[in-house]
Amino acid sequence: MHIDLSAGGLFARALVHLEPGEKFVSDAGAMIRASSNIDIDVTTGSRGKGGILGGIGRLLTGDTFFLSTYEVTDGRPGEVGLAPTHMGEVREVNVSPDEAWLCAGGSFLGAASTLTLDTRFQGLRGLLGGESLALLRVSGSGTLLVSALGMLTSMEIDGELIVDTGHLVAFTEGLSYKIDKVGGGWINTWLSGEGFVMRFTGKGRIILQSHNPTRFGQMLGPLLPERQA
Amino acid sequence: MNHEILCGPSFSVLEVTLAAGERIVSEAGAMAWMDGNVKSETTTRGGVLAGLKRAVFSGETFFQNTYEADGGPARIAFAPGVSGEIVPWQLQGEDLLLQRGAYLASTEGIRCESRSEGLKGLFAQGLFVLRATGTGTIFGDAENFSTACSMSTRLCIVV
Repeated sequence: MHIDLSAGGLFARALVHLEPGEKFVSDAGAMIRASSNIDIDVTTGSRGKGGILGGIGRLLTGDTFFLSTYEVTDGRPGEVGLAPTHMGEVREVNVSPDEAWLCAGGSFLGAASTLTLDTRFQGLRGLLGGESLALLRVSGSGTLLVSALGMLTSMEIDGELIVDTGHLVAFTEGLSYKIDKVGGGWINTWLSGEGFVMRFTGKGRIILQSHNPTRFGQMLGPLLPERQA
Repeated sequence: MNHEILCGPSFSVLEVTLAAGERIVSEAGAMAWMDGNVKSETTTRGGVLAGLKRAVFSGETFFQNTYEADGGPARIAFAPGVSGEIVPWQLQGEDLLLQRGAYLASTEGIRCESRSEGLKGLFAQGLFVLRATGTGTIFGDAENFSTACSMSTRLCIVV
């Protein structure tokens, strides 16, 4: 399997080349094209580990209920093109067995079927953080595709980093976070317009997106024409 | 203070590295990520009236945040709400007029207030624009959709 990412980054898409026997999983609805020998199977989970509960769990991450699995049928190589909802960059993340990634649901585009996807509930901090109730946990060995509104920035954390919730894409499991206030007090935090932030500690890698989809929506909304009945 | 425009030009993000004790001001809600040793403080900068004028007339935020590197150097990143360029502009005592909503961040020596353009403004950008004065660097963004285009065409220096 190899993946071509379109250059430029502004309106990225991924072209996944599959060899016979290989499978790739994506959000339902992310496919833009596929060669004729690709079979598309729509399920609620990857590798049969999902079921209805897996689908519901994914809904809580802000992701789709169904996943599409792509596979070649006739023993010849095939390809499938995937595109995210937002304009922005798509990046390959190589997940290794010794380090799982946690992915904000809306940033997940696809994954090799060798990876296991499940949901990690964030409880109250997920609700408070203004993000979704759960994060998608990606473990195993293989390629994960993440997308962004805008461009992606990857950095190493060794110590502490504060992130506005809307900018989170994914982080390695070695990092932990708590929901925190940005200013000195809660009133200050509310006034600052940042709302809650995530305070990451530990050692690991984090991927952030340059723009915040919620804030983008808030700015775009008032400029849209009224919906016609 | 060092600054770097990341992810540009289409999705610019401003990343500033502050030395210990240095401060930077931004519009509310613009912080994207920062080191753990950054302290923040939210004020109207210039009083309630200045904040109100800025918010109501110039499409900016009522409150502004001041960030300070506490006890060591720190970096902090600011992102505008929409995609576009970020343009740094040096001021040495002169005035800079900005389009509504174009303010992202500035060094501490710069004050921002709303200024009436008079009736002629009605036919151009709106009745009020934002006026920045002082000494330091101001960072503007192409945040306002209605005239979304590169900042350089929307900045002008008033003598």
